[in-house]
Amino acid sequence: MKDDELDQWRRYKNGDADAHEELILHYLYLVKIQVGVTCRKASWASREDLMQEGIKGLMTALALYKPDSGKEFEAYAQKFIRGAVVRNPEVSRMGRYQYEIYRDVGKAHDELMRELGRMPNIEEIVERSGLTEDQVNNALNATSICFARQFSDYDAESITGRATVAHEDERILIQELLCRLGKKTRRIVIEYYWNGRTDEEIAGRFGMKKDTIKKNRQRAITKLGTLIEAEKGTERYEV
Amino acid sequence: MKFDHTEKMMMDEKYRHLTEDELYSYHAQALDAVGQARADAHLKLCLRCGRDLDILKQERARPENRQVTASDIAMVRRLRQEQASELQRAKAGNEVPIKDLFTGYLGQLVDSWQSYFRQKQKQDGWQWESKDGRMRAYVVSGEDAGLTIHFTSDDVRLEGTSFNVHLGSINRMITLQLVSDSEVYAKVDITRYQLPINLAAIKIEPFS
Repeated sequence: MKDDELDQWRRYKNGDADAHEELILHYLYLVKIQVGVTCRKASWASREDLMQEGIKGLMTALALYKPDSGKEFEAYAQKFIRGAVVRNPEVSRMGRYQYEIYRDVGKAHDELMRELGRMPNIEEIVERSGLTEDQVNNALNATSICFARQFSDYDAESITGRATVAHEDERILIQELLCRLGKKTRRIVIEYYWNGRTDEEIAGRFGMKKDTIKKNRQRAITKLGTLIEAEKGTERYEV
Repeated sequence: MKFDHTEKMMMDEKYRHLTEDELYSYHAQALDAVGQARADAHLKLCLRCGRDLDILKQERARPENRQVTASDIAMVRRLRQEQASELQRAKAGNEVPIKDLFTGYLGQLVDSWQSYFRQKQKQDGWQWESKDGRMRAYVVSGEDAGLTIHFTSDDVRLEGTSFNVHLGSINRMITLQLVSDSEVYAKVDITRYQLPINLAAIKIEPFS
């Protein structure tokens, strides 16, 4: 944070009304970006209404933020602004038919992504969903607004936002726990499972034997499983 | 955990859509090495997240979004005025300070806990909601016959509020953390070895 920004924060936290306005205007671009993103996806929503909600979200973030917390304000405020904008009933207002189109496109996209192991193209999604190209394009832009991003499965539970919490916790954990593996082991696991490389290809990259790579990878997965089990019993939010 | 299950979870990670937070952090190059690798792997596969990232990039690059217009200033001033009037109304109505409000919640919570566990020696089933409906707590029994007490509230002003939980051999300070823009949350896990015979004997105090 720059000195003049820090000064604005100090003055605001001491009750200076001008500093409050200066800070809102300074960070207003965050609201405009969020509103811009949302309007491109939910073109039916009123930009002015969303701006108002976004500014209210920004004001809440300003009131709660502690400048000495070490957190970046932009990242901190994003949550409040996005929440305020997306929660606006205008954004989620859509007819049942439209909703079903979006759901079907999302489902076709996700199925193809898994089956093909690559990014599906528009033609493939059109063919799978039986919808027109325009419908698919519109839906692809809007799906993340209409369905909670966190839940990728398009089943009845996830659409209502009630995805299995335990499973979601495990998913978040696996990323955290990967950081606990050695750098090289982690690279092996990522290259194999996420980047689709074979043990042989990885062995070539690291100048190691294929069997050694395989053993390391399997040991890492076993260790991850053990760590997940151990972590599930501890307090994630406790300080 | 079984090897196959862990392996499948690892494999599935690349198919999981990026959250809005991940998308913003990816664009800001603020993800850690693992998050970055997962996002890269997912973006190679996902048309939908790729489009979302493009939209975000375009909006962040638009010069108009960085400009403050006269109508922006007017809107900000109007909203600030509305907020100030609301605050004044709240003060005039003797709104309780957040610290006192939280202490009141803890009092209600302890009363509810004690009356429940005086009657029942079952570990689970207890749940409580504050009279104003803004704070909730509940108990879930663990597989090892221990239990977890969950605390949640939609009053985000409670973020960072700490309190001490005394139960049996447990004396733990926990802090409500912001988990979304409209929820603060904390939990305390108690193993079966730490549980007292008399479950009603709980003490929860705000940490000052």
